[in-house]
Amino acid sequence: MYSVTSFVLKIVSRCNLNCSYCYMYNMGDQTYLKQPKFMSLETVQAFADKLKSYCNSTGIDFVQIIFHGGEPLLAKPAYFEKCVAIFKTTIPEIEYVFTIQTNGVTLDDNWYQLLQKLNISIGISIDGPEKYHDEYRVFHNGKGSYTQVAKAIQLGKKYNLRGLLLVVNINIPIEELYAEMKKLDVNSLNLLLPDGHYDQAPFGLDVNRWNDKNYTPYADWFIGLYKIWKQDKERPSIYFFETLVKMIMGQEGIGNQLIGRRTNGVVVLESDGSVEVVDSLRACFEGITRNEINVNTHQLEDLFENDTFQLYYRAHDNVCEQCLNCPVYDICGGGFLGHRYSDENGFDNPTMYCQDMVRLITFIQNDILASLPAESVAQLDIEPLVYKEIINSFDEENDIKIDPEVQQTLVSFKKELQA
Amino acid sequence: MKKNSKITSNLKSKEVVNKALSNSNEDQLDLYQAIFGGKASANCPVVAVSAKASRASGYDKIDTFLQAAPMDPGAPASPASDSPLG
Repeated sequence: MYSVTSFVLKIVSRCNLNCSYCYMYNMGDQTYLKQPKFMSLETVQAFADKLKSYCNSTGIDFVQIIFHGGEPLLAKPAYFEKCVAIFKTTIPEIEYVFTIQTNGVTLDDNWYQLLQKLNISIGISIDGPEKYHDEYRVFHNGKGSYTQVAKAIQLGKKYNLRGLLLVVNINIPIEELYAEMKKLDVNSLNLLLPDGHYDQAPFGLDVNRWNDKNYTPYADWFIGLYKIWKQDKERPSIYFFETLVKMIMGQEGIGNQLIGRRTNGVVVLESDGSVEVVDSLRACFEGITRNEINVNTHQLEDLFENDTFQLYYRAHDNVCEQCLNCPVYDICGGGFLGHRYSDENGFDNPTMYCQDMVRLITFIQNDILASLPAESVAQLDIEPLVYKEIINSFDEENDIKIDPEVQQTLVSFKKELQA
Repeated sequence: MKKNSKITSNLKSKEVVNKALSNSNEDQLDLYQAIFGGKASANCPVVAVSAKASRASGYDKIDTFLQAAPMDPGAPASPASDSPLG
């Protein structure tokens, strides 16, 4: 059985920003152009009806509803009131967490008050200090959006919102970034690796050094940030790091689509009612998430028959042979599915951030061991991981062989085979 | 043979680590104590998630998908107890 409890509603298919790295608009997928600009309330109701049926048949009593876009705050305030009412009226018996992910440029007191009244948590995206943020997160006229976003973040403090998302830009000196977070008085931060794959490297990555075993620009950046963060007694919460620490410490049952071994119980509802697998996979190639399933004509469970959904749901189990044999596999889980794609092998690759993840996980594990009292470490059945050893082991013959059926599935997603 | 990457993998090792986190005053453990609730810091909050939500969620409340870590309005700023002992 597939247990899906997180539903991303693309209530607006357009955006008032034109970020250069956006998977929706600037990474090879133009399907948003075929979508209505706004999800109608009739579609929201149709979804709520199908959600009720799904929850009743599976016993699910908690769901996350994530208002997403495009830019969801292009919808009118009354739209959100009606949406929340639809869910609470249609399925009053379940517990909801409502969240909105916004670029923040239109967030003002009125929005904050409304979203707080509706108990909708708010996440704001930012790319760091002004000169870096404005390089990528620009309006359609090319002007940067930092001023508006920073204002929204400052305003959010009145409403107890100090949580941000940051897509990692390794060109930002970490000292500058950390100072910016302190300046904005951020108390919760999450870090997101840029979308990309083997045939579409994200910004900041030198593809000519791809095969260099010592080339780990993202890990180097993360480790620099981690060191500053660790030294700061007034540190903000950095969710990405904390999750890694917990997993390395041995905590079970945590993780997400980027790291860990959990299933990915996420479904996306497009503005026309289409039910799809997570849309950031679109960075792989045009139409990879598309199917014929729509809430107006199908049950939510129909998506569970979809090949891409099945692969994504168990993405941390469906990994290449190198991952199966890697000592950090239980931590990184093979990485985000989209980061594993290549036109040559489909998803039969480690994540394009493999070396970075090995370096970062190794560093954190070593740091924890070095921080614990020596007498405690002596009682543990654990050896420090060594980056070079792990990377060199990738050239050796694998003890654990991949299930040929899994490999065939991973390869079957090659763009040419899906066309 | 794969090396073990996880520092604790059984009850005994979890007890060892938990004891170290609880008893140490070493500065270098401050971060890990804050994460696991051994030394509460109001500046290192863990977003409150109801028991039902944490049990039933397909993934963590604050995922790379949700991406930001908004505080629930009115939620306590103190970290949840999050011992590696589980």
